[in-house]
Formats: sequence, structure tokens, C-alpha cells
Amino acid sequence: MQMPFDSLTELSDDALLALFANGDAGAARALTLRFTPRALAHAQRVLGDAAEAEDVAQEAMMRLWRVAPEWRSGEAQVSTWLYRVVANLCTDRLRKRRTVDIDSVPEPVDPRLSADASLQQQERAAALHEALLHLPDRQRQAVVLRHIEGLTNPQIATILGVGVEAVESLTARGKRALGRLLLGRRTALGLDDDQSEK
Amino acid sequence: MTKAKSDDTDLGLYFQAAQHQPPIANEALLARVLADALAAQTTHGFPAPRAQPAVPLWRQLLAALGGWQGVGGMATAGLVGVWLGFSPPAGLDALALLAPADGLDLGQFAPAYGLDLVALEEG
Repeated sequence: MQMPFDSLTELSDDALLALFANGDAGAARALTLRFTPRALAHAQRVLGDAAEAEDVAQEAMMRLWRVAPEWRSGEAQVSTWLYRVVANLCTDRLRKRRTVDIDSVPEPVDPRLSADASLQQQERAAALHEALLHLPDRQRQAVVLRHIEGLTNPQIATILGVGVEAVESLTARGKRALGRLLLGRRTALGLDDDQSEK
Repeated sequence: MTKAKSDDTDLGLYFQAAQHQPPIANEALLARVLADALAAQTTHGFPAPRAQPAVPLWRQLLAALGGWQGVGGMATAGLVGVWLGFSPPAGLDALALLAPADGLDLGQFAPAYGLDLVALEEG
């Protein structure tokens, strides 16, 4: 049964996946638009490379298409499952890069910015992306999922395959490391001015 | 304590900036992902939507009679009837003697006012 696209966008993830498995092309489009941006965003923030992130996002979505016929509604969240696939694919790619020294870290991704984003915000985001690339893989993934993607600790625990306490430890250590890495950039970015204005 | 709070606030500004500037999936990527999805639907043998298969006549009859339980009850009642015909219980003969020789008339069981009502309706 083909449903109008507008009505599909309001369906739950599970319902869309079931429709997709039944051959509904509209569900394929709705799922593509719903999940590809999330997969891409996480991959890009973790890998710091736009082309690699696109490959990871496409591969993760391909795995979603393959698992759709066997998907058991209610057993897991589609988004959590997808984040887990993306996280694992990123880990595999980071391992292949072996040691990440300062020279091999890719240039920070130039995010496509909204027209109203201030120059200061752009610089902050770029500085954060650059600093994130210096964190160990697990810390980076945990910090991105918690503080940028806005997921809960239990969700992150499922995605990374660790306990909630381990997630708390990873994010705490990651934030401390980020703080040290960004320390030298505060004045340049005008953050000190922000603080004094408050 | 104050320094830690200040650090958190600083980091919060960085995280906020990153949240407001997410990487954007371009049209080419979305097109590739959608093409994969449609190809998976056709090449991986996903079942195409199809009409419900026709229900056989014997299944329809079975359902009309109340399923296997209904048919079982009817079969049992039939066998009991056959059994009573071949080997009636001893008390049944005495009961049969009470019936008139020329059979029973259903009119005997009709309420007394039945005929009056019929007469009134017919005017």
C-alpha cells in the first residue's frame, strides 16, 4: 500500500520500517530523510572527514535496509540501533588510521552554516570539532552523543556496548580533556569577553 | 569549584555552537541512500504488497459452523442420536406410551389466546 508522503512523516520509526519491509517506496524516502542526517552528523563529528562520514552514513543506512524484514517492533529503538552501527563503523575506520598524531588529523570539517550563525559561533564549533579529533575514540563518541546529539547515558551505553558508569566516566574524562585543549583558544574566540559580560 | 563551573559553562558554549551547526546531508548523499533503499526492496526479495489469498470453501464452512469445536459438538450429538435409535434407554418406552397414538398436535401447546388474536387481526 502506498501512502501519501506527508502522512508517512508522522509515523513511528517502527511503523515506517515495517512499511519499508513491505515494499513501500514512500517509507523508504521517509526513513532516508529521517535517519541519514543523524548518521552523517555523528560520523562527521567523530571522523572529522566529510567524505568518509558520507561513506559511513550510506553503509549504516544500507544495513538498516537489510535488517528491516527481520526487525522486531518494540525490541530496540531504530535510532539507537543506527547510532550503534555508525559508532562501530567509525571505530573500524579510526583503527585503520592507526596512531593519530597531529599531522594525520584531518582538517576540521567546514560545517555548512546557517545564515544567522555568528562568526564567533562558527569559530567555536570549528575549534570544538578540531579538539574532538584529539580525544580517544570512545571518549569522543561518548562526548558527541551526550553533549551534541543530546542522547541519554543509558542510550549511549547501549550504543557503545558499555555500562552507564563507563559512559559517565568517558564523558567526564572527555570534557576535562576538551577543556584543556580549548583553553588556549578562549581569548582568541572572545569567550573571556562573554564571561565578563555576565 | 567555581573554576570547574566556569569550565563547564565555557564548554557548554562550544557544545551549543556545534548543535546549532550540524553537518548537513547533501542531496547527492540522500539520493544515493534512497537508491540503495529502493534497490534493496527489489533485489533482496522483500515481499511486495499483495492481496489476501482466497480462503478455501471448506475453511469458510468450518468457520460458519463454529470451527473445529462446533463441528465436534455436532458430530457428538449425531452419534448420540444414532446410539439412542439402536439402543434406547429402558425408560424411553414408558415415556412413548404417554403420547397419543396419532401423534402430538402442535396446537395443543399453543396459548389459549392465540386464536383470539388471530381473529382480531383478521377483523
